[in-house]
Amino acid sequence: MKNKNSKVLAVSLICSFILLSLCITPVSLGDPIEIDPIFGDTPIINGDIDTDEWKETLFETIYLKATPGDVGLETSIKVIQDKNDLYILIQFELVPGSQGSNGTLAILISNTNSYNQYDFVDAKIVNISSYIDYSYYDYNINYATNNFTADQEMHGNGAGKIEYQGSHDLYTYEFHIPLGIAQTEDAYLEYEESYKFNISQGVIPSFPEGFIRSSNVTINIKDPPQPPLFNTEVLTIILSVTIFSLNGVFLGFYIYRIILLKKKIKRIR
Amino acid sequence: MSKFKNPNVKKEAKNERKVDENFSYRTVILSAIIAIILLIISILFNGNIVSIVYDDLLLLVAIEIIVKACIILLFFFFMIISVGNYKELTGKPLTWKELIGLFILSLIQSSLDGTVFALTFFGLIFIIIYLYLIQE
Repeated sequence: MKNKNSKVLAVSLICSFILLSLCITPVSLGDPIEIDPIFGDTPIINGDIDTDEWKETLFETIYLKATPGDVGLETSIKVIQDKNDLYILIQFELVPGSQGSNGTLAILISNTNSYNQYDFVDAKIVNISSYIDYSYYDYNINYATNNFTADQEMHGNGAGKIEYQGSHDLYTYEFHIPLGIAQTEDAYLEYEESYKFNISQGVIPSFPEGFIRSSNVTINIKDPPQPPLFNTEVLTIILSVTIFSLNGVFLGFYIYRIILLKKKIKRIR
Repeated sequence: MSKFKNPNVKKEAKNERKVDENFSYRTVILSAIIAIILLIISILFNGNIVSIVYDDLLLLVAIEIIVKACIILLFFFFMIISVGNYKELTGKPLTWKELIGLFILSLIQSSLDGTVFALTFFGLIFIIIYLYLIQE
């Protein structure tokens, strides 16, 4: 009896371990953070960060991890939104030459707010080669069939650059992801909804084997700001003209009354 | 006691009244002209046509607010003098109706800026209390 119980316990433990192992995929790695994009000026997606670009928002820090126990690669992320698009800037540092002159970064996009890997249906990938040359790929992914195929029609844009900075190489990636447009091959990102994004870093643009570490972030897509009902500037001008015209009319009438009084005094005298 | 009044005394009194009237009338005119000039300056500053602020310097912002409020208060002050003397020349006292009218005409000049509005409001209240206390 005791022997039977031990066997059941051992089988249960093995089953649990197998199930847990199945769940550990690149998509589930890393502690998720929540980002509320700032509405700002549209950045140019070219891998270069000008002084005027991305200035409206501050960096958030995430850690791209290879395994759940990994300390992770410290990575800075900025998210900006405009009326129709989402822009993501990702930067991290690596030891010079650790990846040669190449680097790949993929953003996997879920079409829901869940960590379920089957909901990640879209991948935007930028591959940097020779420090400055980059290629952008738009992939349709399907974990259920293990199918990762390039989109027939590419949407969005991406760019990247590696800068040698002495003690380290600075990797910069910029992404442009369209919002509110239903595409068959892409994730449909609606306003006022939250979506999970998985950021995966690797060496070659081949998913999933080319990627080393990853982390999840939740991005809350905002509704684009509505234009004001009244143009404040025009309203101010109208108000100013009305106020000072009123004052002017009163003073004009008052001057007229003073002139009349002068005539009246003269008549009395 | 003489039954007849000295015609020279009557003439003197008439002349004195005439001088007083001229003086009052000059005050009415002069104060109104100063008020008009102040209104023009107020249009420039409170209508946001002219600004002394650059680089969002806090000191200049503070100075501009004070200048805007002071122009309106001076406008009110000179208008009160002018209208008060005008009413005196017509033989009637300055009523609360005219006072409130001038108060509103002055205060609405600052309606485009909340801070100037608050400062002007308290300034106008102060002037009215001052004028009320100094009258005989």
